[in-house]
Amino acid sequence: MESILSNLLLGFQNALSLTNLLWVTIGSFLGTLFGMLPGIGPATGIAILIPLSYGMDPTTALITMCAIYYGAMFGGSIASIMINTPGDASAIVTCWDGYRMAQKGFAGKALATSAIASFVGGMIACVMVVLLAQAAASVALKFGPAEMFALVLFAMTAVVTLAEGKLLRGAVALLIGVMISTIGIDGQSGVFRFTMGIDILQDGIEFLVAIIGCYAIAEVFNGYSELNVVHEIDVKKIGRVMISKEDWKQIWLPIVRSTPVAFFLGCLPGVGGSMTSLIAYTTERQFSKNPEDWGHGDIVGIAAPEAANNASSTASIIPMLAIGIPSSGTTAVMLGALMMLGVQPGPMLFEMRPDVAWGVIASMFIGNIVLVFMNMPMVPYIAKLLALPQKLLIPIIVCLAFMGTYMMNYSTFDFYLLVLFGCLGYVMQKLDIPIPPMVLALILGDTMEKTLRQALVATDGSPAVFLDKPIALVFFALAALSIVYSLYQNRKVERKRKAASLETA
Amino acid sequence: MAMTKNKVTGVGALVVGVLYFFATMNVRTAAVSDPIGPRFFPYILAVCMIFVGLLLVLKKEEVTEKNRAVLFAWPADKEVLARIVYTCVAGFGFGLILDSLGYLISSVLFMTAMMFITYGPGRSFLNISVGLIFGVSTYVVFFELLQVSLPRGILAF
Repeated sequence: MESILSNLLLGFQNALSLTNLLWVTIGSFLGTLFGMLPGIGPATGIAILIPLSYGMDPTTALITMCAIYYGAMFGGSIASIMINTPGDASAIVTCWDGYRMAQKGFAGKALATSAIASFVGGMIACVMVVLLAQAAASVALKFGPAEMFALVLFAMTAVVTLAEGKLLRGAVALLIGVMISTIGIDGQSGVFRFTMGIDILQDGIEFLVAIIGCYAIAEVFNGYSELNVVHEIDVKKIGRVMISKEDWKQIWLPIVRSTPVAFFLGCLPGVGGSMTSLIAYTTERQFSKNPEDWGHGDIVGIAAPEAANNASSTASIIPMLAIGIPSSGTTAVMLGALMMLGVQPGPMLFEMRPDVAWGVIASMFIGNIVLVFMNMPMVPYIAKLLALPQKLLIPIIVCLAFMGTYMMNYSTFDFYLLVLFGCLGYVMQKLDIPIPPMVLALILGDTMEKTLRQALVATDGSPAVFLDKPIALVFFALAALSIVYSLYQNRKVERKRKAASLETA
Repeated sequence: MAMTKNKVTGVGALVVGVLYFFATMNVRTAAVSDPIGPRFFPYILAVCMIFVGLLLVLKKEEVTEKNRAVLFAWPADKEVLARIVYTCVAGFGFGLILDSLGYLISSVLFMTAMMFITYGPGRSFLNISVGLIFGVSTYVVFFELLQVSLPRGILAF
């Protein structure tokens, strides 16, 4: 416990430098802005803001990216409440009661509830990160190649199986991602693979280029079908952004109840903010004395999912930072950006670079405080930006994406890849193929192959190596369980659908 | 006849899986001793992809009036596809001119082209002004303030 406190103190010393404080504020603002604009989720926001981190030291870069991440979570709910269009998937639930409240003339109260719930949920989650991150890293430190392979396999399976009934299409996305990661020189044997005679591909495909293409460019292509949509925002109607004592009495318990559950779910790969906020919403509705009000502007219907959403996004930092396994598309982008800056997240980070690891954890507290103090008074002005026309936003996003891509390797060849991945991402969206499994696979594909081969070499290629490793077996069992569960869920949905169609017939 | 999203994905997965399988056969094995070899993992991937592709193609699906969302369709508005093609062309063009013309000129041209794609030719003044402002301001922020090295092209004097 003592070492945790002294490490946290070191982290605060690092995070409280003037430069870092400035970047936390800038990151929070930009994150709120990008999270708010429909179509640009946190993953895209971070992806196109990566160029900002060039030239920064790794701690500042990671702190900035984390600030963008929380900012995006805050911002997502502003769009839900004001225009009934979630800024990102995890803010969908907030639309249900938030927009109704705004329609009744309580937009200010809804926005304040969302900010306060996110703040409290985020702060509780930060304390839990402090208590658990080092422990997670020490456990992961004991993992050999066999355990690591099993963990990566579990992370990948979980991301696929939890992608709501798209098991097979998710598997296709995953396999495409791993296949792309095999392009270039094979690390173990030095052999060229799948370079198609193109010299530049010898170093492999920079996964950030693929990610920016699949998220930013593909989302732009999608945005072309809603090019003429302009949202009208009447700032005067927002009213005072504050809640009363009575409101607080109503929401504090649901916030405190939703946070720990969302936190532990958020540590698991694949369980993103959209799922935890939905779980919090449905659970709290059952506890409610007047569930019939839900969906018509109930204040708890905003507080519970917002707290859960922030708790799970804070929790997802643990697997990313302490184990080096991102659990969502957004943390995958953050991990990719960090690796580019020369920082290898994972258990060794806490041993070798405690200043970076703990600086980031400390900055999460600061980020939350900055966000609540910045957003509460400024939200009416920030919300005005929702009225920015898509026609102007799209060229800006495209140009930022191209600039970010170029500055990674100073190679214009990456532009062609960017366009190619943009088209791939667009086709995947049209086919309802989830993109996060591919992104995760792009980043973890290499680790997966390396650890599998290292583990097998020890037994001359016999898979028996995994049988002696209980931790690996547990992860395999979890992976199998998640597939069985997903198949069971699919069957249940299918049966319900058939029953419903029979009834109507 | 319109195909379902599952069928289209399945056919795509089969094609990719088979191509990847043949490409893996052409990977050279290492001269150094490597008992597992560079082909081992790609073969697993290819087989998995072909297997998933087959499952998707063979999956039974009923298309009713209610679940037409399972069908694959390109956007009905042809302008959307046209804009996507224009954006790709502009992106390729940016790649071709960046090193020779330098960042400043090519980013102004690229942003202006993007503005023409979204606003159309009717707003030329707005399109060109935004292109200019964006190009110059990002140049100042990245080149002058953040000191990122950017190609200066024909302006390198």
